[in-house]
Amino acid sequence: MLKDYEPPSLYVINITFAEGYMGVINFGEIFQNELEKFVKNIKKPNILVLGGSGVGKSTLVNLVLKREVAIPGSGKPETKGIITYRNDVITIHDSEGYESGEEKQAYYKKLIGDFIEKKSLKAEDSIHLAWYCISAPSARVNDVDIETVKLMQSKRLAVAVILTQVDATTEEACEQLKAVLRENLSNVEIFESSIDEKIPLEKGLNELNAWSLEKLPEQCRNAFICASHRDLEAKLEESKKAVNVATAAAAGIGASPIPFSDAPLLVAAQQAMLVRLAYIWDLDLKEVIASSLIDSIMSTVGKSLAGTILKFIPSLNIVGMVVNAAVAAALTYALGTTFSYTCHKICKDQIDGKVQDLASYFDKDFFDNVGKAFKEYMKGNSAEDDKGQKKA
Amino acid sequence: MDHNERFRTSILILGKTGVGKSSLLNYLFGENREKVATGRPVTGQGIYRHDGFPYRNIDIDIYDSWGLEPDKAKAWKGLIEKEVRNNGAKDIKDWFHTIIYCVDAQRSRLEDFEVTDILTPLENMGNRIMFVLTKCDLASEIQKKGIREELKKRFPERLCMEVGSVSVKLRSGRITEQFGREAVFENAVLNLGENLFCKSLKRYKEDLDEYLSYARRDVLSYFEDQAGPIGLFTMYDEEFKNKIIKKAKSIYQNLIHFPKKELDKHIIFVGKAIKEVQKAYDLEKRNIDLNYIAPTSFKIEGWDNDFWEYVGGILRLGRKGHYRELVEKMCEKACEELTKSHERLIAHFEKRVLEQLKKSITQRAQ
Repeated sequence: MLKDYEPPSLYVINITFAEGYMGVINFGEIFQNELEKFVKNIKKPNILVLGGSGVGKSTLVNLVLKREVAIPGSGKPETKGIITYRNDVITIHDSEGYESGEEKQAYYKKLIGDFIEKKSLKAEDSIHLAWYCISAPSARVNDVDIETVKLMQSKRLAVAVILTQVDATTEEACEQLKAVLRENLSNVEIFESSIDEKIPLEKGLNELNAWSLEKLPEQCRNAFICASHRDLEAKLEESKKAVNVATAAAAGIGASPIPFSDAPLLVAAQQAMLVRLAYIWDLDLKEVIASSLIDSIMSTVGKSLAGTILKFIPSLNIVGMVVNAAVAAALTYALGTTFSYTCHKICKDQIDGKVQDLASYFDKDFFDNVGKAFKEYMKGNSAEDDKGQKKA
Repeated sequence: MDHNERFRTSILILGKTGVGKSSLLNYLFGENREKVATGRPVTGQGIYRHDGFPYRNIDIDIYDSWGLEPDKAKAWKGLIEKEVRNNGAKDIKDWFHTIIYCVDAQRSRLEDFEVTDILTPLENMGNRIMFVLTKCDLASEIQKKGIREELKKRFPERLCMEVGSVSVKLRSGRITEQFGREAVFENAVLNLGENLFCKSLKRYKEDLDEYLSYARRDVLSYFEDQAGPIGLFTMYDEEFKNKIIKKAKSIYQNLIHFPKKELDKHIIFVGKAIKEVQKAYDLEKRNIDLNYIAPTSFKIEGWDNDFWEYVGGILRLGRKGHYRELVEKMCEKACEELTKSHERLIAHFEKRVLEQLKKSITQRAQ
């Protein structure tokens, strides 16, 4: 289609999409550059996880986080003192479960207190949140639990108390535990966790996830969203934000009066958006780059949309070499939104354990959806324009 | 014991807070005797007696106890040890005949504190602890296997029973079942003879050690008394030597009667207990021979000779210190011999009595 139909007005669009395919623009490379820039600015959340021996700290961490960070085991506690698990998006400090004995208890409290103090000396190390686990079937809130939570609160740390393994106890028992906690601790956020996801929980792991997200400093949000697989809605929300930002930027670039100057900028903005989305959804970025997925997406989008785009550019008579602002925005929006939904699907499949080859998600449907989204955006926008004009 | 009076035995339940001791007690009694709650520890700092659960022809008193709280471990250990020690000083019928230590089946291991500060000292006091895995209805097979292995590693010869004490509807929708009650009673009763036997022997050894130290003290004080402050001896003061040996002999002969008397009393009670257990389970009335067990006479081979040899050769005027050393050596030898006799007794017991007891129980199991 493109071969026998090359109106000049599509030239820039061609650069942006089709020509990338021909090697003029290496999308993969730009993607990688944007990724490097992005990762440099990412701040990893530092989360401290605490609780008695065998209350299921590691299990909780792995239930909240997408990738297995802490490997649970039985037998001797794996953690001596505090074990730190790091990956590229999050740092989890898993404290050794406390044991009985006055010395051990005093040591434990000192360990936690000193650790928080020590970490607060360096901005990037300071602890952002604490998750304090109490096993619900154990049916006890001990003094040490209360004292440790108070200790952390006194250090101005946001603490969530999580009743773990609630599936293995009764509703009343959980209520009693919560009442005891509220009685003994002021301003305490209590959540419940269970391996059995079917049990209705008043405040479960999704809520813990949302609470954690709220308590984290702004710069850590993306990394936490990336690391977590609890709350796909939060990921969608964050994606929307990313898409909106990029769409607005694209509109600005599209409106640039200097011919040809817009294409590279537009490409960069779009790639930055894709990077952010891929990160939010925790796509395997190495695989994305290695499979030159981005190149093939961009070129296919260009090809399949060329016709559609043409219809939406009513005035070919203007300079014709500039992607108009609306088109640039619509393209960015369509690409971003469709990419987000596809990532959502990938994420769900990962959770259900039926994930396929990454490339297979970017099939004909994907490109059709980009087209649909593009049209919708253009229609929506022109409708709004109409309204605006009428009002004026 | 009166013929009409039923035989009584007792079970003490120990364990960490929240492990389900009070629930177990309520389940064993089949009624709510102890307050069970979620949240803060409920059973106060002490040991609480609930008496008279009729089981077959035996009445069983069950003692609930304050649970081990992580930050009150010393106080807990102090209390439990004191209670068990005081209890051991009582008449055998009032001892804690069986000690049950509850472990949450969902835990993968025992804490170091539990092992080194509680279980091991209790075992050293002669208690053969029975483990009850509580909340078994909540634990997975892997978890149960894990904790069983841990217990087997640490206390290879001890029994371990699985129990579910309460029937409740879990949030997962599952309704838990009560189970394991009969096994707890049965094991407590069937092992009663063995448990009491072991504890009696341990007690005998403790008594013996105590009396040996008294005897040594008495012999030496007699020596000091006879020797006077300066210690005036002659080479040929045979009269003095004879006096010391004679006195020492009588002191040591006398002393063994005290622990032996206690042991005899205990053995009689053990014998009764065994008969009651046999009756409870219609076991074949085997006569388990218990009588030979207590030593009745005291003989130290070569004691006299050694003593004479040492003393005869070296005795010098005024060398009281050296002479005293010889008397001390004499006491040591007596102590050694008596300890050996105790070891022989244990070996004998393990070989004969324990085997007989086990046989009578396995017979039932078949």
